[in-house]
Amino acid sequence: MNEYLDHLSANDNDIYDLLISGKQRITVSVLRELLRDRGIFCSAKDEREDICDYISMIPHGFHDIEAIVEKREPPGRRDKTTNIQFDSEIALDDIKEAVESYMKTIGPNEEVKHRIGRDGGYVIKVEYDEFNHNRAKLLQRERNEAKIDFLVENGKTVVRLPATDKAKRVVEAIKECVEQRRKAPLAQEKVELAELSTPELRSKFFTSLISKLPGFKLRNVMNLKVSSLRRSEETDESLGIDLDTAESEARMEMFAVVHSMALSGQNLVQSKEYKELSQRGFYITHISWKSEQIENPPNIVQFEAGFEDKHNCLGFRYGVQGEFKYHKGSHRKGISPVDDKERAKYFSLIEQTALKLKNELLAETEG
Amino acid sequence: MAENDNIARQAEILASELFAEFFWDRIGPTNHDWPCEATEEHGVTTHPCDVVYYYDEPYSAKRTYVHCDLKSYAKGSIKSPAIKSALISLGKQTACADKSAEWQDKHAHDDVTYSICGLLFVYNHDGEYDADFNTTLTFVANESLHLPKGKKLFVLGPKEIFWLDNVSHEIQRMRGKRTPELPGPEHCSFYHPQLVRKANLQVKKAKGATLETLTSPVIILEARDPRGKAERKIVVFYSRKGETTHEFTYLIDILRKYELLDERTQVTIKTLNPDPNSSPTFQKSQQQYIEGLAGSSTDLGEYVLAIRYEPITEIKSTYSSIDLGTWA
Repeated sequence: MNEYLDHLSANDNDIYDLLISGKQRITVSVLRELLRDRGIFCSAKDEREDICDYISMIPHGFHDIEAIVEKREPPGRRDKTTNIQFDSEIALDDIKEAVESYMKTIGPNEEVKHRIGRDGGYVIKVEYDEFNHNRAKLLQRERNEAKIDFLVENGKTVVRLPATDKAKRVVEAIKECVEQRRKAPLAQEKVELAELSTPELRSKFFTSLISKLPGFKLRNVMNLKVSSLRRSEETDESLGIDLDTAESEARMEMFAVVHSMALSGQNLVQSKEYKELSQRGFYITHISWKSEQIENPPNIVQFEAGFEDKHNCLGFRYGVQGEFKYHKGSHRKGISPVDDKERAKYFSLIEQTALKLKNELLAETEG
Repeated sequence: MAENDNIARQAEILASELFAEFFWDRIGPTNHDWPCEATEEHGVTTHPCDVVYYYDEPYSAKRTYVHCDLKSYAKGSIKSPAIKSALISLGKQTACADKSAEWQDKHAHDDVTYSICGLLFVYNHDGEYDADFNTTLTFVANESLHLPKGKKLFVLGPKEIFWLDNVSHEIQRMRGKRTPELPGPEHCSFYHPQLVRKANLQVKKAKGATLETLTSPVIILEARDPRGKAERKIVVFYSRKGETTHEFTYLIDILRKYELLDERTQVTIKTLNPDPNSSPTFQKSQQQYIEGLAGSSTDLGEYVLAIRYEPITEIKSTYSSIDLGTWA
């Protein structure tokens, strides 16, 4: 079938699939809301499946499908960010040349725009189509954008990019071009904890990150994920299931401990539960938290950080989920997006702190 | 909620004219009370009934009876508690109608399988339609309506009534031209496509527009040739603004999927108060669609190019200048 036609409109079956498979976001109340927007009220006794079936057979226009898609995946969703640090300053001309040679290799569905950044770095924007096969048929073709920033400062080059495969491939290609031009490999510095062999040190990376972010004081821990060192040692399938249960219990325990540490300021290492969790091999792999800016205005910013490969702690990625603005003596209840300039500042704080902590913790192991 | 007789009559005349154009039939007496079948639960001894219409369903071998509550109000006078209590009361009425022998004697045919739904018809009789009306619905929780499983209530507010009234007016205008653009009602029906998961079981019988169609952005009228030729006309009434090529390519593509693009079919798309650039945007969408099909010299390409786009030019205001009073 013509791929173009495949994605232009939705038939009743596409709509049914779209609704029924999005169980987490397309809840019964969301379904009722979709109907209510048309002036239709269904019985509170109707099952989710009945409402999906009903909605799928009523006529839809483009905006209706767009509204369903937005409910499935809110537009505010951003890819997490990751970064690569090179140990030397790459000349802007070299980056420009490399981007231009990369552009000769791309297909028709990809578009690259590039220029010198306002703050002296180099900015590359890549727009591309990607098929996402996890999604319903209608949503598969997505136009994506990857903004890649090269920041050249203090003898280093920091590349900030979305934590997607595509962006990583683009950066890798550009890096190769630069290396060819310079006729020398670029030394890279990454935030990776594979060499930290104990659960305590891996968890300490996160607990330090959230409490030592310069210019901020920790307010609260919102969520965290854990993994176990035992997981890589044991591959038996039956054990895998047990581990899943154990891991989800450990996650709750770890969350409780770290949460209370955040609120009371007490030292985590002294906690009996924390010691026990570490002894059982559990360590933190992802965390989201709120910190309050020490300077005025004391806005509260919600951050997240974690590893893509949680077993080996590789592929550090992070995000700023938004902020609670300070207004007339209290904080607003709703979270609002952070503007690009502030976001870049916060990213830089996380990157620098994370790298510094990694080096300190490595030194601790070696020492 | 006692209504002034005048208001009831005004709303009734409007509704009757409107729904007749969409091939709904009225059945039984209007403006009467009938005994409640759950007096303790509902807290009333009788329920009101303004009017009942019926139409046949395309996707099931069923007839739908629409139990209506007709309301009229002045702009700005409507508040969400009034809407909520009207909906709660309508919910009780439709639940009771299922059990009431008297309701069924008056309003239902003996030999058909049917279901009963409720319709709250709310129009404001002064000035332009009230854009804020629809937000009042967001405060009504489905739980508060206590509807039995599978039962539905529909609301046609001022904006929807304005749209539907103009669709009906345009159909009449097209019929009434010196060279009629549409044949008489006996040759027309509203189009319900064959779906993937459901079949249109009553293509001939179900010629009316269902409530699902009337509350949707796309209403399709199919007119057969009165002389019995195989040609047909399709008029697509599209309620949205036509601001982007996406929405028009979407519309063109569903027409293709509905099997309405062929040699013997003339398709016209009509909009009401569209975006000022909607005509060029539509043309662009036709071009883009054809390009996507890999080339313009295909049959489908020709059918797409032959689709006409005509915003409705004669706009009818639904509202009377006489203030008929408001509801409590």
